[in-house]
Amino acid sequence: MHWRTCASIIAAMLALAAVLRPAGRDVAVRLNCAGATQCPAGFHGVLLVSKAGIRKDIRSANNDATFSGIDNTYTQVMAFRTGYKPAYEKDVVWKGASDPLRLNFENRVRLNIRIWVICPDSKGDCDKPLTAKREAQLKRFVTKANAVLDSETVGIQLAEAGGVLISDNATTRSAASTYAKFKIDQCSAFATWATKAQGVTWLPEVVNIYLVSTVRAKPGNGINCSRGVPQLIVVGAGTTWGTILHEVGHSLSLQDLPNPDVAWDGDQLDNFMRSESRQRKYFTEGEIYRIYQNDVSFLKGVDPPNFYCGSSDADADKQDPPCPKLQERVWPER
Amino acid sequence: MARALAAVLAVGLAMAAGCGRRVNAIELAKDWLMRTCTVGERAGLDDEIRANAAVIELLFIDAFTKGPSDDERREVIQSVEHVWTLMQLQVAEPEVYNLSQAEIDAMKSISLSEEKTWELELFEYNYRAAALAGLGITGGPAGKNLLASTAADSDSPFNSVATEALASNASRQR
Repeated sequence: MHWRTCASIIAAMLALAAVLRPAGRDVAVRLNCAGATQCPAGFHGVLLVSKAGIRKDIRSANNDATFSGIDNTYTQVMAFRTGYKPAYEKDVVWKGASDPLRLNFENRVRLNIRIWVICPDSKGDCDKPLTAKREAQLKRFVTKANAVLDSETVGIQLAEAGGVLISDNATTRSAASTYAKFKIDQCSAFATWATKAQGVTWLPEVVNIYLVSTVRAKPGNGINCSRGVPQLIVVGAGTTWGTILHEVGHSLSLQDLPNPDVAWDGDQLDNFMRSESRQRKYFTEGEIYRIYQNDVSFLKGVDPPNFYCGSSDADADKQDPPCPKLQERVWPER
Repeated sequence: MARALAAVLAVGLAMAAGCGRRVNAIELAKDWLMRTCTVGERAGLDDEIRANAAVIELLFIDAFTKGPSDDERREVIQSVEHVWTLMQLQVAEPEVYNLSQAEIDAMKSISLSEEKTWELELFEYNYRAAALAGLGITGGPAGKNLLASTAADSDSPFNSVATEALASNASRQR
């Protein structure tokens, strides 16, 4: 056969193969809860991630999430529901709808916190004890934060480290008053000071929260001074629970919003990572993905960090595996 | 009413004086008053405030004197109600949210009316304190006068914040 004829036949076959190549297959994801075959009532949200984009499905519990047209580029699955840690798998090999991918929701992750009282008075009188009202507000922080974290399917439960939420013996340490009116450039010195006295002003494996009079002259401000381990958050005496949760978000690798390098549909004011807001309500599933996958997140604590979704949409696309966009939501904000 | 009109007029005149600037002074002031995270992406906020100090100082004085607007207070209340609603949903279906009895009890112990009162108190206090802290950046005579009189008032819950703002302004000018 003439070489030109051969080449034509091969070209035609390749073209035909391209046309006939399936665009993707029907697949299913089946979810169990904490090893049980049946989950409590509720809904599961499932996110499939590929470089080409994302697919999502919401199903009532104990029904498979199904997708059509899924090719092998969809290598990651993350699933969300209230009351449990998100389920995640990467390097997924799909087998088809009749042989669903099986994932398990584990119980919520306990994130231990401790509040250390350095100066509980917004007027700077550090000898004053924490008032009963302020103590009650700080305890409610945990209750309200957990209500949001659960409802938002973040899968984290804030817990009292060692069964104690508030330690007020930090005020007696020498030089504590140096940090009562916290300046923006004091993080490094503060970290050195605080971590010298384990059990008095810090605990390892814990998100340490310090109550001072003001942060940068504002009693309502917070600042996250963490650089990997240890985790140190400093908050003013008038800080609201929403600001404390925002700062915990930083410990979990989330950055402040707005971010000019990140697209966002809708109102960012409602997001917990907005740095100026009085109406924080939500976390996105894109943020939850980062909380669990970014090596710099306190939950992972991989040092030196290897995997990081970056701070822009462009960074998110470039990662291997790719990250969903920060604003990605499975459920519309409620 | 006359005082409110005068304040609006003063702000309007000051803004007209600086209308060549592209930056929206009201947005900058709002950003400062609402910002509760110290390390944000807008590290240049102080510089922008200083560059618009004449206008923003009036806004900060107004913010300290009057406190937050009714709309801003309403948003705080709505946020409290949102979380309250979440807690009620969770208490009604604790198995869906995988809650322990301790969590259920903690949620049940919170009163909505007390929550509204406490959150509003904190918000208003922080808002007015932030206005004073902002006057430490703008550093104009009217702002300094307000800071000095507040710092000298030992009964004011803001005297310490005013003292700190004055000190921070003085250190900037050195």
